[in-house]
Formats: sequence, C-alpha cells, structure tokens
Amino acid sequence: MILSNRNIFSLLLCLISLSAVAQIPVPVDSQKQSILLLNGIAHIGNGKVIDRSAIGIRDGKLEYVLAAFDVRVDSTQFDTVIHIDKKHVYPGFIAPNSRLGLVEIGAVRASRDYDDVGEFNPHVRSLTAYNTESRITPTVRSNGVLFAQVSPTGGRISGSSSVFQLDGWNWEDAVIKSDDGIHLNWPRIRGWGDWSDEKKRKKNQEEYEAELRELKEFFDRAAAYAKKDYHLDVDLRMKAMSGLFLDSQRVYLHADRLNEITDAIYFFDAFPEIKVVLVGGYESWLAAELLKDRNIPVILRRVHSLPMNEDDDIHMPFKLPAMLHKKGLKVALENSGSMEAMGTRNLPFYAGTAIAYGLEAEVAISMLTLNTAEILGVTDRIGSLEAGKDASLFVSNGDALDMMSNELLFALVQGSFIDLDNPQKALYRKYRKKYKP
Amino acid sequence: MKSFFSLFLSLYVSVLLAQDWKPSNGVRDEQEVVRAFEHATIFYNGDYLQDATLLIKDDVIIAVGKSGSFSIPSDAIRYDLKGKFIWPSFIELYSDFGISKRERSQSRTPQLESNKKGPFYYNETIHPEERALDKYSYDQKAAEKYRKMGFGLVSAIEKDGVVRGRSVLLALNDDADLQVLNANSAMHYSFSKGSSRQTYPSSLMGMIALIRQMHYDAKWYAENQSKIDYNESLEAINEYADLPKIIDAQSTLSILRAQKIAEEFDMQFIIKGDGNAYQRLSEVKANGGALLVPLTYPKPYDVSDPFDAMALSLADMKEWELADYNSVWIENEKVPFAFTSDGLKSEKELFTNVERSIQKGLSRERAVEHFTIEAAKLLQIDEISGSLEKGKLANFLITTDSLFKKENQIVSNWVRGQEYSITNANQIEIEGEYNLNIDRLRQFDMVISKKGSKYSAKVGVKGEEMSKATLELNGNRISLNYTIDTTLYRLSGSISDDQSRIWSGKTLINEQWQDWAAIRKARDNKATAEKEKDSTKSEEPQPLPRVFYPNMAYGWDSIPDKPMSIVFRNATVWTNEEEGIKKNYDVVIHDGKIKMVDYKINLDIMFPLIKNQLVEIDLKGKHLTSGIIDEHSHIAISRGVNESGEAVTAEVRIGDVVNSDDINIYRQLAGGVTASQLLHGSANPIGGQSALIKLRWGKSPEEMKIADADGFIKFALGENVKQSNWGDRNTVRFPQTRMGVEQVFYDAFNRANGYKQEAQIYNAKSNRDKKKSSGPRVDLELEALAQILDSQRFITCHSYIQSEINMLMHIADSMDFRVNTFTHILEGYKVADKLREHGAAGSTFSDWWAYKFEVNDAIPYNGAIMHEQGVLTAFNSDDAEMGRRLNQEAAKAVKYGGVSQEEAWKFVTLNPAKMLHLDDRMGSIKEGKDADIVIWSDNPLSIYAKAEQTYIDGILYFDLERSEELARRNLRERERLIKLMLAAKQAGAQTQKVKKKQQKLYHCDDLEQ
Repeated sequence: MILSNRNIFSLLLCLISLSAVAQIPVPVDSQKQSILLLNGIAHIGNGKVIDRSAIGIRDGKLEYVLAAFDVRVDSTQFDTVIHIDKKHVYPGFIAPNSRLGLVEIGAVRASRDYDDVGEFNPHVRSLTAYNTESRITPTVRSNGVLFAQVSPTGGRISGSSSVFQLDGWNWEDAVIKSDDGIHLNWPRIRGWGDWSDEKKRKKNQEEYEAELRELKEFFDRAAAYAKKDYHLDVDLRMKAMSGLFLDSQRVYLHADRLNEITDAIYFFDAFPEIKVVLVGGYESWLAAELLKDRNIPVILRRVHSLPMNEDDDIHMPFKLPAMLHKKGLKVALENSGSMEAMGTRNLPFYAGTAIAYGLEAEVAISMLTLNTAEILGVTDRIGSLEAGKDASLFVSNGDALDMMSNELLFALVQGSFIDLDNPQKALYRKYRKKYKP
Repeated sequence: MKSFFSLFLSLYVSVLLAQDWKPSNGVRDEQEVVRAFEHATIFYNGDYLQDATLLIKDDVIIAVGKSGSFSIPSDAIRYDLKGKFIWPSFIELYSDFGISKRERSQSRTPQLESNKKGPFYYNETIHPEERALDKYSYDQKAAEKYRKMGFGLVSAIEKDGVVRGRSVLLALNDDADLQVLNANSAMHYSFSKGSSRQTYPSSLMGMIALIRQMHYDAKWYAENQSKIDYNESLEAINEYADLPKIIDAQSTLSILRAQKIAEEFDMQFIIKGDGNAYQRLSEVKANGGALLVPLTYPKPYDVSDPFDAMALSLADMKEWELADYNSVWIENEKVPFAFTSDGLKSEKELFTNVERSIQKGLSRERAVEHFTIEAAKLLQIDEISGSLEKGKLANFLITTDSLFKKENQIVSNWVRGQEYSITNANQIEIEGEYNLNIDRLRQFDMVISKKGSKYSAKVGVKGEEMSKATLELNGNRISLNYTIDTTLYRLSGSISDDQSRIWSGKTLINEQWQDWAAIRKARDNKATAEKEKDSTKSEEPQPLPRVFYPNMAYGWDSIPDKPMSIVFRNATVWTNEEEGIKKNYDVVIHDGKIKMVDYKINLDIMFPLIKNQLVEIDLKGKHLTSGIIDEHSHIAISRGVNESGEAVTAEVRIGDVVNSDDINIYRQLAGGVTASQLLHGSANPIGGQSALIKLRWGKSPEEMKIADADGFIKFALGENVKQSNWGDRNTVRFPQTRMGVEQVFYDAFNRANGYKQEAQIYNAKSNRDKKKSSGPRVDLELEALAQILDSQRFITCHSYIQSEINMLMHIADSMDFRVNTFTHILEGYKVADKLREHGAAGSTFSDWWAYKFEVNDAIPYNGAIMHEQGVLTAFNSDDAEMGRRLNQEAAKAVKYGGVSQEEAWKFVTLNPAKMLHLDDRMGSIKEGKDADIVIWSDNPLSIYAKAEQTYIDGILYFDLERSEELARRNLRERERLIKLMLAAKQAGAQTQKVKKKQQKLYHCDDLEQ
C-alpha cells in the first residue's frame, strides 16, 4: 500500500496511533476529506468486479468507481490518494437478522435485550436498545462487517428491527434505517417428536390452525387500522404495524420448513401491499417457484450449520446459497443461532464456503452486500460501490471471504477512516508485552 | 445347579401339596380329577404327534402319546379333540402383571442422597431387595388378556429402577391358591432410573457404572459380611446370585452394553432390546447371553403426504421393513432367545407379528418354542413347564389350527389343569347362507356374514330383498330379531350340531309358540379357494432386504474391512514432520500403514513385492494431509454426555455409551476428521472417562475405539461445575463457588490416596495372609482417581479463567502429577508461561467468546500466544457442526496472531495427537504411522478446500463422489420403502404418523432429561 499526498501523516496517525490504549474504538469524526483509492480490485457488490479500480470519495460519498485508466480519473482532485495495488475493496458487509448490540454475554440475563414478554410485540424496537458501546461490535467490523440489521427475537412477532452502521456515538447517529420491518416467527407445525400419538398430533394441528387464525385476525386488524390516518386512542401495536401497509416497512417472515413457508406465502397473498422477506428458508428450495412468483427474497439460514434432517445431503447448508441462486431467488446470508452476536465476524466466511460448494464468487459477495441492501431497502446508501452511495467500504490485504487472507488494512464509514482496533486486540497486545517486555 | 434342582423340587412338591395342608370348609374334595384329551394333534418335541392323547391329573401331565399307546383310566373325563391341536402354553418372562406402581415424588429441589432410610444401598434406583410378590395382587382382567395371547405363566416385576428386585412367577389361574409358583423368579435390571428422584445417575453411563459398582460392593460385602453393617440390598444380590438376570436394555447398542457388564462379572443377562438386534447381530452373538425379543413391530408410517414423509428418516423406514426379520436372523445365528409380549398394544398383534416373521423364514415350530420351552429354559423352569411332557404342569392350549395362522383360534387355555375358554369353537363357523323356516311353513333366506369377530345377519322371503336382522350369539345360544311385512319375528334357540350347521328353537308369533330351524346350505368352496389363491399371490418372493451399517442414511451395504494399497503421486504433502510441506511428493500406504513418503518413489526398487497391488492415484493439484484429530468432541454418545448427579463421577465412562449410529460421524469424516476424543461434559468438577475413537463409520462401538490408547478423564472448572447457569433451584450441590471447586479436588485426591494405600498394604501381604483377609473394596471412582495419581490416567480439564487454571496446576504439583491438557482454556494466554512450566497442553477454540461471563476475556489470539510461548496448542470443536470444519478453524490461527500455515495445521492434527498420546501412530505423514489420510481439493486451510477422500487405517471411509452416489441411493431406498408403506396402507394396514428422528447434539454443558 502506498500513500501519497499532504495528508499522509494524519492518515497514518489515524491508522496506527489508536493502538495504544483503545478498547472500544472512538467513532469517526464528521470531518470529511476527499480520497482516491487507486488500483485496488473492486468488488462492486452487484456481481461485477474491476481489477484496477479508481474509487473517488468526496463528502462521505462515492463520487465514482471506475477503471483506473478511465480518462475521468484525476488524482489531483483529492486530498488523499491511496494506492492499493492488488488489494481487495468491498462495500461494507451487512449482517441481517442479528442480535448484535442487543446482547453482551449470552449467559448473563442482565445483558440480554433481544426478547421481551408477550407474543405480539411489533411495537418493541431494537432501535433504542442498540448498544453502540458493545465490546463485541468492534471485533465484528474488524472482519469487514460494517452494518447490521439489529433484530429482536422471540414470540410470534418479535418486534421491529433497524439497520445500523457499526460505528457511532449513539444509536441516533449509527442508524441507517429505523424500524425497517417487523419480524414474524411463523407458527411451527409442531409435534414432530410425537406424531405417533394421534390425539397429540390432532391437537398440534388444531393449535397450529388456531395460531394461524390469531395471526390472520391480527393482520386484518392492522390493515384496518392503517387505513385511517388519525386515531383518537393510539394502539401502539397497530401503529407499529401500519408501516407494513404503507410500503415503508417489510415483514421478515421466519420459517424453515416447506409447509410453513407455503402456508405463509398464501397467507400474505391476502395482503398484497405487504413486502415479504423470508428468513431462514432451509426448505425454501422446494418452494422456489412460489417465492419467485411473489418476488420474495430469502435471508438464508446460517451456512455453517448442520442439515436439519438426518437423511439430508451432508453438505446441504453449504450448497443452499448456490441452489437458491440457480433457482433465480434473491438471497442474502445471515448468522442467527448459537454464538450469534460474536459469531457475526464469521459472516464473510459463510460466503466463502458457499463458493466452495458451487456459487460464483461475485454472487457470493452480493449475498453479503447488494442483495442484502436491496432486501432491507437501504440501497440508497449502502450495499455496493456505486457512485452516490455512502463511502462505507473496506480494503483487505487478500480475499476477505477466506479467513487466511481476510486482513483489513482500513475501512471507511461515510468517507471517514474507522478504528479497526478492538478489545481483543488490546488484550493481545497487553499479554504479548507480558511475555516480551 | 444344585439350587436350581432344589428350586424345581420345591415347586413341584408345592404343586402336589397345595390342597392338602389347607383346612377346608365342609367336606374335603378328595377326588383326583383325570382328564384325557384324545385324537388331537399334539405339539411335542418340536414336532407333531398326530391322533395323540394328553392325559392330566389335577394340574400335572401324566402321559402324552399316540392315542392308544397307553390306557386311559376308567374314571377319566374324556375330550374328543379330533381336528384340534394341543400346544404347551406360553411363558412371559417380562411383565408387570398385577403389580401396582409406586408414586413418584413431586419435589423439584435436587435430591442428592437416597430418601429410602434403612440398611439399603445408597442409591434409590438400586433395590434388589424388593420382591414383586409384595406388590402383587391378581388382576383378573389382565389375566384374561394374557390367556387370550396364549400365556399360562408370567413372571412379573415392577418396571421401576435400575436394579429392580425379584420377579414373581405366576400361573394365570384365577384360584388364588394356584397362582404363585415362585417368589424369586428372576433378578431384574434396566437402563432407566424410574421413579427415583435422586440426582445420580442422570445418564446411561451413570447407570452402567452404578450397576458395576453395586456388583463390586456385593462381592466385597460377601467376603466381609461379619465385619460390616448389614445391608439388605447387597444381601439380596448375593443370596439370589444364581437367579436368571433379565435386563431391559431398550436399544440394540445397549444389548452390547449389557453384555459387557455381564462379561465383567462372569454372569449372563437375558436382554431385552428394541427389536433391532439384527443391526449388530454378529457382536450380539459373539458376546454371549440370551435375548428377549419384543414383538412390537412398528406399523408402517403414513407417508401419503410427501411433506410428512420428508421428516421420516431412512433409519426409521428400514426398521419398519426389517422388524419382521429380527427373530428370523437371530434364530439363524442360534442366539438363544424367548419372545416377549411386552409393549404390545393389542393381543392380536402377537399372533399377526409372529406370523409375519414366520412368513419371512422363521419356522413355525421354533416360533412356538421361543414362547415355551426356550422361555422356560431361560427362566430355569423347564423341568416343570415349557413343553407337554410327563410330570410338567398341565399348561396347554387347544386350538383349531396351527398357532399364529390367521384362521387359527385358541379354543381354550388350560392353566394348571383348569380350563379357560377363549373362543367357543362352535361359534366360528356360522358364516354362510341358510334356509330358515318357522313351523315348517314360512320360508326365509338368511345370510350370516362376518366382519372382524362380529357377525351380522340378513333375512328375507325367498327370492325377495333381504332386510337387516339383529343377531346375538352367547355361547351356542342364538337370538334373532327381524321384521318382514310389518311382522316382527323374535327367534330364540341354539346351535345344535358341532359343525354349527343346524340351528333350532322357539319363537313367539301371534301369541303362539312355534318351532323354527335354520339349516346352512352347502358351502360354495369356490370363493374361499380364490381367497387363498390371492393370499399366496401376494407372497411372491421378494429380494431379501438389506441391513445397512449403520442401518441408516449413508450406511454401508457391507462393512469395509480391507485396507487399500495405494501409491499417491504428485501431491502437496503436509508431512507435519521436519520436511514440512512438500510439493510433488509421493506417499505409499499398505496394510493400513504409511509405508513410504518421498519424492518420486520407484516401486520396482522400493516395493517389488507389493508393487502389483499398489493402485496409483495422481494427486496433481491436490493436498494430502494426515487426518484431523478432534481433541474435544461430544458426537456419537448415547443418552447423556454428562453424569451430572454428583460433583465427582470419575467412575463413569463415555466408552460405555459410544453411539456408532450417529450421522455426525459421517458428516465429520466428510470434514477430514479421522479420530476424536469423546469427552464427558463439564457439569461437575470431576467428570467421566473419555473414549478415544477413530471415525470408523459402520463399525460397532467397540471397533471404533482406538486400541491400547491411554486413559483420559474430564475435569471441569468454573461456571458449569458451580451450576451458575442451571436455574434457581440448582443451588444445593457442593460446590457453588470456585473456592469450593478447589476443595472438591483436594477431597477427591485425598480419598484416592487413602484408597491407594489400602491397596498397597494389601498387595504387600504374603500370599497366605492375602488368603486370610479379603482384598479392599473395589471403588470405581477412586480407582480412576488413583490412576491419575499414578500417571496412568490423564486429565483434560475444561477451564476458562486464569485463576482456576493456576489452581488446578497447584493441586497437581502438590500431588505430583501433571495436568495433561486444559481444554477451552480461553485465558490460557494469560498464564501461558505457567502452562509451559507445568507441561500442560492447551486445546482451545479458535474464536468463541462472550457466551458466558467467564469467557469475556477470551481472545482469538489465544492459540497464537500459547503456541508462541511453547505450550502444545490445539483447536477443538466441542460442537458437531464445527467438528466438520476444523480445517477452517485452524486457518484462524493464521488470521489471528500470524501462526505459520504449517504450524496452524498441526493445531488440528499432530498437536492433538500428542495431547492424546497417539503421536506415535497418528498426526503426521510418516513411515510406520497409521494410514489416516485426507485428500483435499485445495490448501486445507483455505475456505475453498473440500475433503475429497478420508482414509482411516488405509480404508476409504469417505469419498466425495461416492457420497453423492450414496445420497442418491438414500433417495432410491426411501422411494422403495415409501412405495411399500403406501401399499401396506392400501392393503388395509394400520399406519402410524411420521415422527421426526430427533438429532441429539451435545455440548459440554448439556444435561440429560
């Protein structure tokens, strides 16, 4: 990496100086400089790649992303020019459906803020609970994940999620999109373990149907409520649902099994104004035609997970991204499950595994960037290296989807260098000192 | 043998004396009743005596033979059984007939000690002193059910507890004086804790350890009886040591487990599995002992909905298909067994299911014997029952046809000379068309049809439409009501001939009693003939279904056992030896070992003798490594990874509960794993002993174990052992703090020291002195701990926080042993110097953290720092999912801390091999080591690398291409079975709903229940 120009000194400081004491990194200041990144391999996020790129950044935005030999590139127009020959540039990766910032230590109840009491909680929102001081977040962005859709979990309707950039003094300046959608956990067709018991099975089926009726009633009421602009008595739940019918919010439908997925699709046929996103989708490959027909994208269940059934293809979870892509579905990758918040830093590697099992490399990158942004409805600002969007990107020494070469040189959020230090690196330095005084 | 003989004698004598010693009310009944059952076909000695006679006096058989071969006393009551069959009645070895169940305590606070006060064994689930007789009261309804199934004798026990006590042998005779034959029929065991709320044992391995400990205690008790307090439980074990021992093992693999216990104590179990013993039949046979074979064949699953069918595992489908063959194959292997009706929902099932097995090749005669003489032998009562021989109890069945045949009916079940009528033989044949006339004037047609066991009737004027009639049949009494032309006919009468052809009686019409009669028309034989033809048609010989090894998806058609001879050419070889990573290298494997590792090996010179056997595989562009070794794994474990019942459970062994049928074995082979340490969990400071296995998919648990491996044991520290995250009720078990944890160790090792000394004192004695006194009590827990003190067993300790890591090393130092490995050890980087000094290894996670309070300071650089400081370092999984991507985890050592690729790779291969003391045969590509080899498509540390082949001992256990073919085979096999099940459903078989096979995935802190 070669830096040239007058501001080189301050930039170096920015990259190196923080190592001394920092535990939770200091957010970027708002002072914006113009930067030109030259000759990097730019993974645009839309499936394209520019081998020798020129990325112009001004006022926190991408001014242009071109081939370096393009006539329009004029390095004198920028405060800072950074040569990143053969380094990889990616739009900041996005972690959808994440508990990041809602939990600090899984086993400590006091630190858990993702699941509240009650079944129907659309009014509960992650926005104001999101902890910008989490010790976990800096470890996540050190690997290239710069955004997260922070989502409540549990219950039938868990609540509303918001999309954040993983840098900010408080939730207000970290948020990219507030209350982008509500999360619905589709009722489970239960009792797999005990279907030999006919009575129990019947009861399970009845319970499932009752739950569907309850859900239908809830959405019917919400649709009716949304039709009126003004309500004398505000119903917080219904108010929170209104956005679904006004095209400002999505419903994130969590379901894995085929029957549940198809039931849900037909359920939402009755609400054509609602934008539906499927989350989980282990068996969605069997419902691909329906999903495509309804334009429903899939935020696919963690790639590094076990097959759900004993008989399933042993590599099924690894193959699913390629399978769904081949069926023409829009897919993004997510990370919910055990070790969720801290495991978010492994999100890039899920895409890597998907490549090993048949997915084209640039498509895999889209599943962490542009596809995700499109699904979440934040393409105006993030998701790809395209002119006009936020200059929120990172440069890796090598292929960021492979752990051996995922090595961030620097990252920008809205055109400012962010601190890639984290508490774990600080402990590393501290104890190396113990052994090498 | 002596006790057996006296048992028989006492029984026999009691049979004869029963009536004599009891005062009777009124005039004593002195008649000895003799009955002769003549002209029957008698099942005798595995064959049939035609036109034979059975002679009984009171409740004893006095003669059997061809009719006419002996004289029948003049005062005998005679029964002409022409066309009928006589069989010995069945014996049930395992029932809870007439036994009331105890109530289970509802308290939810953990109960660490036995609530049963008194001189009993210290664990509530062990109660050999209990007698079923004391909990028994005759259950007439249940007796009828058993008699309908053909049983004459049942052995009954309360199905509760691990050691349950003695069953009572009962005759199913309603006369209370003729019921109890033996109050000590068999000693019963099981692998389920039952109603005991005592926390220990919480796991299968705990139950196994407890049974073993109890037997050691009993032995010691017998040798020292005079010196120690009376113990009712151990008394019972010793006093009844010669009784047959019946164990409800519940699964096929647990049959093998029970056999292992039996072997240790030189005894034999009669073992009830789950009806799938065929899956491991060669092992079952080799281990010895007898089986109780259940007849609870699964119903076909209802797979008409393909979505339901998706959740059904191939394993369950195959078990459905192969259930019929279980007894056939066991019989072929000549493993002694008896059938049991235990678990059957309906009486009919017994006959239909046995008939199914007969159709699949079990001989009818042997089937009968497995209910009779074989059962009697197992229960050691063949001198008094099990066959129709002179001197045995008069327990027999009279039937219309051969047993188990669909058409057959049991006419009567005689128990100790007393008749219990099951079906009225006359009733069976009334189906047909009749001419009915009343007073010889009114002529009707009548049709009797049969559905199930119910008859229905239609009556009409000749040539006209028939209307429904009400028919009631009681014995041979008939009542029939119908209305024709508004006239109500009410007929009452009886069936008057033994072919049930002629009915006659009286009817009241117009205030006048009149005679009526019905005579059956000659039977049209065509219809029945056709029916029979149909049934033979469906029995076309099908190809014999195959068992997979294991019997599930991705199982083998036959177990591979021949190591391959291969020369791998032009590979990039990660030797893990001084040569490092070599490009264009060759590796020769033969006889399960690595024979040579070199550049361009010349076979003519180096391997002239085996050159022709060596298959050449060109690995240009591929990487070859030794297999991954997972130092910390919890896959392939049955029923509990933690024995959480007590703080110290060094006696339990994962080796007792290895589950060879876990799909995760295959999944991890596909990730390049060849060997694993199956560790006990971290629920207590001193957990159980590990099993070191190779992932020899398809083989039995014992075959998976690594021969001659050192013994290891799990210790644990921190939040899990002090039950921090177990919920609010779990605050009573010591320890609840890290302070307490330390003391648990000191206490345990002090006790172990005392135990050692006792053994030393005894061993120092002269042989003569030794004979005078008995040896010290075998204590399985202290035995394992003493091995640690002697550096014969090695610790892998679950740990996080530096203080506790330090603490355990201090304990070890003070006791003069070494902590072999700290696992997890996420703060190892803080005490790396101390670890190195102590000589402990560190097997850690690559990047896990923040899931518990104690892992807040975990860092992904931990491995790098420990390695840099000279600590032997590994990455492990502790997780079935991560276990198949350990190559990726190793790559994180490169990313976090800059460990070289070569060294990072050793984190998951050579270093764990060293920790497990297996590096003399595994962990690197070196001449003489085991041919545990993985072929990778790419640099194995790369995210893009796939394991293409995995060899263990030179056998190709996983091949990526073949695996894709296996996946297709799975689908074909599913398809085939689904078709069969749909056909069964269409043919009218009762079905059961699909149940999803639950995947049991364990982590360190998972508790059973």
